[in-house]
Amino acid sequence: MTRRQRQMLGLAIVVLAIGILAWQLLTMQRPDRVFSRNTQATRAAEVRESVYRLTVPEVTIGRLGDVRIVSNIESDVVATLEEVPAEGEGGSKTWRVAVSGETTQPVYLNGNVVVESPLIDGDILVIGDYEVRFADGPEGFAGFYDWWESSTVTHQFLSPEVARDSFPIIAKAFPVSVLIVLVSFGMAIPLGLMLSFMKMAKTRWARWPATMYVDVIRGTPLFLQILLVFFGLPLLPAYKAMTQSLPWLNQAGLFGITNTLYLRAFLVLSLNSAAYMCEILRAGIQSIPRGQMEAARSLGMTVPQSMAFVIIPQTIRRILPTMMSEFILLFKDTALLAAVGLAEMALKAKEISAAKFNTTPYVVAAAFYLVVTIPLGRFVANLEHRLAEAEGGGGGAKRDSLVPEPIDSEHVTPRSNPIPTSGGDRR
Amino acid sequence: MSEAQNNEPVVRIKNLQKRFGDLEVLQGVDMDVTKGEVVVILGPSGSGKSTLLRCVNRLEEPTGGEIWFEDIMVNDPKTNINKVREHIGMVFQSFNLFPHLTAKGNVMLAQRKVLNRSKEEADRIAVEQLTRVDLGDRVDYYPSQLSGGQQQRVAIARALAMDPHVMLFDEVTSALDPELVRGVLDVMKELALAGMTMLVVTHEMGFARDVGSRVVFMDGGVIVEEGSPSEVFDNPQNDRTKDFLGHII
Ligand SMILES: Nc1ncnc2c1ncn2[C@@H]1O[C@H](COP(=O)(O)OP(=O)(O)OP(=O)(O)O)[C@@H](O)[C@H]1O
Ligand SMILES: [Mg+2]
Repeated sequence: MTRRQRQMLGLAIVVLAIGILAWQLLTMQRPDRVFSRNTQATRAAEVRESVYRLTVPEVTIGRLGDVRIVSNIESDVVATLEEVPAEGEGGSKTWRVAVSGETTQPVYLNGNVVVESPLIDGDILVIGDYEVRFADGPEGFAGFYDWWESSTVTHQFLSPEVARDSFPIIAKAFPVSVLIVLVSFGMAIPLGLMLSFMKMAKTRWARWPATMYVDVIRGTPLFLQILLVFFGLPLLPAYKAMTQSLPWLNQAGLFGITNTLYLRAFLVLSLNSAAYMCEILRAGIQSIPRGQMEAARSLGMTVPQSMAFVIIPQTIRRILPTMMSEFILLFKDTALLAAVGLAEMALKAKEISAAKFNTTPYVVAAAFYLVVTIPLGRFVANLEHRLAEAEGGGGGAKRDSLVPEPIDSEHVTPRSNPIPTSGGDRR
Repeated sequence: MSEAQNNEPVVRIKNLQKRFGDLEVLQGVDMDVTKGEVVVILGPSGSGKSTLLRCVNRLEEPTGGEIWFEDIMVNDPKTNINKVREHIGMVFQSFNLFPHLTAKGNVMLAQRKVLNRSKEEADRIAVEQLTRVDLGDRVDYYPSQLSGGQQQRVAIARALAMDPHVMLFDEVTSALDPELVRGVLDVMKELALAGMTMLVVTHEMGFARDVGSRVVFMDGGVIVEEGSPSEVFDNPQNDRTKDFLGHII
């Protein structure tokens, strides 16, 4: 089967699956559920805004089967909603309210005190301060939507309503994370290059500090480093003096984040990433066969020239996939900044989540990370594939299969060394 | 060869010694290479041929003795070695082409960076030298798109573009399939005929006899015999030379 055929088959399967799912959803029978709404305006703030569940602390209505209305106004259970099994074939389900337990407040059904009664569409139950409207659910997509929002797991993690509310807020924080990772990564490259040269230096006075630095940074959690920098740095007199002499540092910068927060974020993330970058670069540079340097030097090029025009360009091609993986890691790590009050996506999600008592915002934030990481990850995989193919033939733009492959193994072997990635492996 | 030959020494090696740790690889080598001469260095594996060649442009640091290139002492720490290397071309067994550059890019790089030639001039010379090694139609190919023999000829063109006063060849055909050796040897022969001073380490006896103006036989880090090709090949004096040639031919 050709690649194209496989792709078409995969596409067909996906389309079919989506079609079946959609058909199921749209033709779905009326779901079993309780439709209820609190009408107490004074309590509205405490009520989680939804059409299917009451979540005022005192009253909870679940859905399906053993539905209970719980009240702690005086006693515990004041009313129970029960499903009455259908009579005969095709009979639809009915519901019944049963009042039990000690209660000081009567339960009213459509204005009449009730102890036990069947429920029909449109009935209004009044229990203490709360009014509960009982209704059959809508059918089709609207029914599915209600079921989705009323089901604990789907509502808790994937509530469309909460998602809709949190999307614009998290979207506004998205450029914050992107800015931080771009600047930090950009700073980490020259820092990492410097460190890698130090680590490869002949004198131990260069090697030693660089090795120490890399070991310490890679050997401790980034989270601790963030805490140290964010809480430690402002206590330094020099830092205080700096923020005083540069008042703009304490003002809000891009996307509403205070500049000092940016400064510390750039600092800690680039210093951290530089340690990983150092190892990636060092492994990359050392993977270039010695003959390359010797050839360059034998032509009269100086060491810096040989590095800049012969070694580094080849290194970059080799480590590009690893570098991009590091970029993805760093991008995800920006979420740790939530812990120190930098209002990036994770912190925004946390705030909304706390306010809404729902974890959907985290999922929304996760989606924003995925929008960057998945395409980039695919790209890296692609690039790795292409480079691996090119390794046999190192090639450039002009590859074409009519051209003879290198014939001698001597020359191919050193270049087909696997790209060293271990140096940069993280966490 | 002979018509270009005179007595002006290009490379003078005096009592050259090289140690790797405890291993004495070169134990006092003396050799003068005059202008236009093609000195072929023979010897068994490990006898120090490569090391000798690599000392000439100081890819290896000699541990004793002197190496002179024209009137510059190569192994004087005060010597700007990059200036010396501009004039000493070297071709390696494993080609060592820059894989990220095309054939032309390989030949142009050092011209631009070391000799500071203009882009146009470097380009012109690159095409000229690549044509000289019979690769005029491959200038825009990447090394991976070239056969071993073609790659080695690019490496020769790369060295030639620097207008070297002497060329060092270290077993440049050893990594090649037999059918590709010819083309490289032809290029080297043409070079010799054009009067290039050459130091050639090789196992190609035909080439040594045909092109060499002098053959040097090394063993155990010293020169044990040297002379014209016919002297060394037809009438070797030293037992080790006899033994070696007996095995090879
Ligand atoms: N960098 C080095 N470190 C340690 N020993 C080395 C090094 N380079 C070469 N040697 C040793 O020096 C000796 C001579 O090596 P050299 O490469 O000069 O031999 P050669 O005559 O070129 O041999 P071949 O014909 O196999 O290429 C060998 O024993 C080798 O192991
Ligand atoms: Mg050798």
